[in-house]
Amino acid sequence: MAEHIILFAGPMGAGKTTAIRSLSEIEVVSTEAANTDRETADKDTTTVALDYGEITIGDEDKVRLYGIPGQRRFDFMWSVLKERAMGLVLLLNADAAAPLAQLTEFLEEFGDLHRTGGVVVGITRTDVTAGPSLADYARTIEAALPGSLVPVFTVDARSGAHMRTCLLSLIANIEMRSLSGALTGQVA
Amino acid sequence: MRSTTYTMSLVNLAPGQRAAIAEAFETLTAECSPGWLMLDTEGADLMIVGSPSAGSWQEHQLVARLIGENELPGPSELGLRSPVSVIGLMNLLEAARRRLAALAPPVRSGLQVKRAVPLPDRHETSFAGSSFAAMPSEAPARPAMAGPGPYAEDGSMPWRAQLDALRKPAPSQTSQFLSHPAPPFAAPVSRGDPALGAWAETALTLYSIMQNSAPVIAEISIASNALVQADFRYRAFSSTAPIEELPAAPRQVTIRTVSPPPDWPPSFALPGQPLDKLLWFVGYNAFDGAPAPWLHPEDRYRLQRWPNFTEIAYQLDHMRMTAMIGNAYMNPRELAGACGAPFDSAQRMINAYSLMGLLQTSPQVSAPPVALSPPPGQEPPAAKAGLFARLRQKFGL
Ligand SMILES: Nc1nc2c(ncn2[C@@H]2O[C@H](COP(=O)(O)OP(=O)(O)OP(=O)(O)O)[C@@H](O)[C@H]2O)c(=O)[nH]1
Ligand SMILES: [Mg+2]
Repeated sequence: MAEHIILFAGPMGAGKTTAIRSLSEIEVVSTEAANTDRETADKDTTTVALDYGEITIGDEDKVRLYGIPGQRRFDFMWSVLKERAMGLVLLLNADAAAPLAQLTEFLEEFGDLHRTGGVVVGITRTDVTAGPSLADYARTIEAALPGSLVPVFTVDARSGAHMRTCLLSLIANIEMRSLSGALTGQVA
Repeated sequence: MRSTTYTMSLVNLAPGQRAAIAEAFETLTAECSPGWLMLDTEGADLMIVGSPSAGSWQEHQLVARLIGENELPGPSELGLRSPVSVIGLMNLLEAARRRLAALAPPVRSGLQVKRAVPLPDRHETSFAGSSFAAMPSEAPARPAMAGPGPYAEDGSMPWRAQLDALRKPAPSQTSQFLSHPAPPFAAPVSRGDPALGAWAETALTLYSIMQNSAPVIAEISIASNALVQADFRYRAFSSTAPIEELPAAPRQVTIRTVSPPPDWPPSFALPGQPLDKLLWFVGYNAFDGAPAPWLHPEDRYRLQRWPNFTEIAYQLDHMRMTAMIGNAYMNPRELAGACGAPFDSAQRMINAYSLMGLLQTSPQVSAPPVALSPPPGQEPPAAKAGLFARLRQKFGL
């Protein structure tokens, strides 16, 4: 059975746990602890270890969904996962104090996944605060990863349809990159 | 179909001349809506050319020549005197407008903008003649101009005042837009190519607005079903009916634009809906699967920015094709072949994306095809195999 690892990263309260719950077929394994950092995210709990969910397709494929805790992302554990991952769903909440700076910060940490696989950016909680425009996010990505073309969507992490759009576009991008490379003789 | 705009295009002009005309046009548009769109097409109503032999024109097209400083125009010739001034351009457009309005209806079979009846009054597009629901019924009077504007050709009448005079609404034309549906036309509704569909003219107007980054408000009325207001200053729109429910091929669509004065409030409660959603709908449904008139059929395109897929009504084929042109330059035929998608769907998507300003065109027009269609009956590898296809099936999409 083929395994496909998709990482979900982003700051505290961006919606990683919620997004994985929206996609996963199994009950999501989360390790939530009381949130003592109410300033960053006003919610009761925060994830302190990896979230885990999965989608099984027949007996051929298993898509493993890992959520990296927003509070402690610089852990050696994710560097192992990062090497095995096919792609990254980077979530940012529009109502954070400085979502563009957070985007830059996370791309510095996880940007090489764009080269080895694919990245899609989902902006959550735009219904709470509009925040920067999608063009602003796109410009920030271009500055961090010049020449890249990363999809950026507004999403509600609670919506299965939105999260499926993120996941499918991530995979479409990865597959089309290698197909276009094969068709045009370019290095993908 | 009723229209409020004529189109003009610049042909065979030196870059400096093009720039001068474009600048004059911009100034004119900023002062009032002159009822003209500048498009890059050979099918425009008015072609401004560098030399009279610059092309072969249709009967219904007007040609105006750029005339040298000390040269005299021919007796019935339309001309624009160099160096180009705002007032000179305004006079030309006004003369052209009169001639176009006088043309007998059957002659006017232009591709770009179709009209069922000659427009009774161009000023319907002007701010003062507007009847937008959110605007006060008494439009504020524009401040009178103190002295001759910088572009006045002679001291007799400041050009701004001339513009104001041109812009004055015809009383019988005002305030009828929202309250009454367009009158039934005795003449056939479309005198152009009916295959282009009812959204074609709207798409052309929106394209021109996008190309000029014009801070205008457009009002689109769809048969008697719905009214859409798009405020380009806020990249937002509002619609009386959900956009997904608008007909793809309505009987009639009418678009009007106005240039609101500075500080004019939004024409609906913000944030409204994102403009891209409207542009996608119009671009996708206009032209009935033919290339948009502003595109060259063999050009190849590459994606500059992904559309926001959570807000447009896309199909999964569009997502794969979008990912493909995110990675390679392709024309619609190559794109459809490479992704195993219908050509119609690829062309419509390219039309929509170019309207939305998401594409860049390949500088190598004559490059060899980058992808060949698979043999008939056979799907390309990525269409069937691959995680995308299996997940799609899994999700029941
Ligand atoms: N209103 C609104 N709420 C959202 C949206 N997306 C997610 N949420 C909510 O935002 C909250 C934060 O989501 P979590 O999934 O806990 O965030 P997280 O990224 O896992 O955060 P950490 O585990 O602390 O790093 C939850 O209450 C979600 O229901 C959205 O688009 N709109
Ligand atoms: Mg969490």
